[in-house]
Amino acid sequence: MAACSRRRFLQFAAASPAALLSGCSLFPGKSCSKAHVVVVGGGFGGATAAKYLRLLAPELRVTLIEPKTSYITCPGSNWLFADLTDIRQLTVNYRALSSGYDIKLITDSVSRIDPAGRRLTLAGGQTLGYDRLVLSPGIDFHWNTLPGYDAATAEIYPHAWQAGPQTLLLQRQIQAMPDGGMVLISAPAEPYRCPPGPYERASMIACWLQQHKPRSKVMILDAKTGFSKQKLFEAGWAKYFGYGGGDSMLEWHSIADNPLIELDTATGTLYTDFGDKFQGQVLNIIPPQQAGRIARESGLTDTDGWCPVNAMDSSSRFEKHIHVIGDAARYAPIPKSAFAANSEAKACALAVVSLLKQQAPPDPQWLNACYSLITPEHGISVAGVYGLNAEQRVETVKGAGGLSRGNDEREERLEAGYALGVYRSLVVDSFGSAYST
Amino acid sequence: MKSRLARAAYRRLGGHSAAKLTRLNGYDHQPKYPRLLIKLLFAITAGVLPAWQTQADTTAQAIAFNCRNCHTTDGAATAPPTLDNLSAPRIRESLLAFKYDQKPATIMPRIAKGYSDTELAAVADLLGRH
Repeated sequence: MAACSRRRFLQFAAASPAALLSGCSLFPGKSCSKAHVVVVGGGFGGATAAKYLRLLAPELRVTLIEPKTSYITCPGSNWLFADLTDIRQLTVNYRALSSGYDIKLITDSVSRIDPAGRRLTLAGGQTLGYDRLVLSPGIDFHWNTLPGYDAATAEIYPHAWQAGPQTLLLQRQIQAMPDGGMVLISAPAEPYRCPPGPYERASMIACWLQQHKPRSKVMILDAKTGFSKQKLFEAGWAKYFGYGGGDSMLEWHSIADNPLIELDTATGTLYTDFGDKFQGQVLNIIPPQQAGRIARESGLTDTDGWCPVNAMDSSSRFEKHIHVIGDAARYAPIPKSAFAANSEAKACALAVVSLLKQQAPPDPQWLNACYSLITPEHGISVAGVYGLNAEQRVETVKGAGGLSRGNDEREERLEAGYALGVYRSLVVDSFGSAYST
Repeated sequence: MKSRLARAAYRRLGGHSAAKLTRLNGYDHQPKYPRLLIKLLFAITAGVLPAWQTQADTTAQAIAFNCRNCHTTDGAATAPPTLDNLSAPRIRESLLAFKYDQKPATIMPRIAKGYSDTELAAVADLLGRH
């Protein structure tokens, strides 16, 4: 952080909210021009925040901290299981953001945040000051919620819920499975990243099995009693995979009242509370999730493991100068999706720039549109428009949003095309460019 | 489901090698295309930001940002369509038609219903500034 602005921001921090919201400019004009915003996490949320901060305020210094040099997107990664894409097409890098948008990229992870001093320390030892911090750390897993399932076991029974080697491992296991085998998918309770993800994944795996191992099955064991886009998925499954019939390729079972209590890692068997057992040749266990490590270690999470925010300006309920966006933050009823993270990042960027200019942030506007493929020719979607209610909490705008109409082949084909087009657009909008070449 | 369908979808998703995509999209390892885009966006926002006077303007800006999730083109001829060649009146007309179910579409009617006519008009004005 520039020395000149440090003292001013400390004064600014002490200013009353009333003065702030009245637009009263304590330090008029360009006092914030050298302000420094640090964005932590280079997923859809962090990348979008960094880019839009620079677009909104070209004078702002923006630093993006991300340990990986390239990023494999979770959106689109289920399509891998039906051979519709490959890891290379799902990989983006940060070159467009750093060179095209003049964002300072630091390839490192954050080991500690000092909110009082508005400084953070990187794993490499470097320290950075900030005026505002935007945290988009994504998810970590709650290991051992299912006894026997931890990070080491995930190398045998992949979660594939952070795209990359785990996704490829699951794909290899499905390809190596004998025909007649069983793929078990364990879907977690809400809230978790990408609510329709497990069901799109089951669809894509069934598509591939139908062509290559037609005597095989995929079965979802669900901790919930229902799921996102359920009617649309079930209609598609009935149409293509015999869902609901005696010999369905794809089965869905709610085990909400009969939860999994043990994984026998030696035999690949899942045991439930009532003593049911499910054995599969391939086990895809999607564990319960929580906000990424740095958010938890910085005291930004509630007891449920997620970060509560003041939705009006995306600031943490616990730390005024830290803004939290993406899957780690609690914006319910907005689902945890890449699309939503992008939308939250834009609202956050608008708020941060306003706050730096000592102006009231505009009313946030959030949008979610989420596509899933049931087959390569059958796409479905859910949309939601969100705003603030009178209590300053996130609310779904009534009369808008909702599901695809369904049962219309022309629209299903159109939406399959949109699924791919929107994916590409979202990547370009978030990362400044598509594909890591 | 037939494998030819899978191949058709794959072609839509990309289907070509990364190198070919690079050529199609008109940029290379040091992307020239994004730089142009950025200059354009800076120009657009530079034109828009001084107009941040009223709540309506800032609301329209906040809404319009979300259009870019789906309507940012990378040069590939895929749907959803680019907005870059559409005039403000044309966008306004479409948004209102989506909202009042006078123009059939898959998802836009669901989204347009989330906003007032005034908001849609203001968003169209922003998006129509090329």
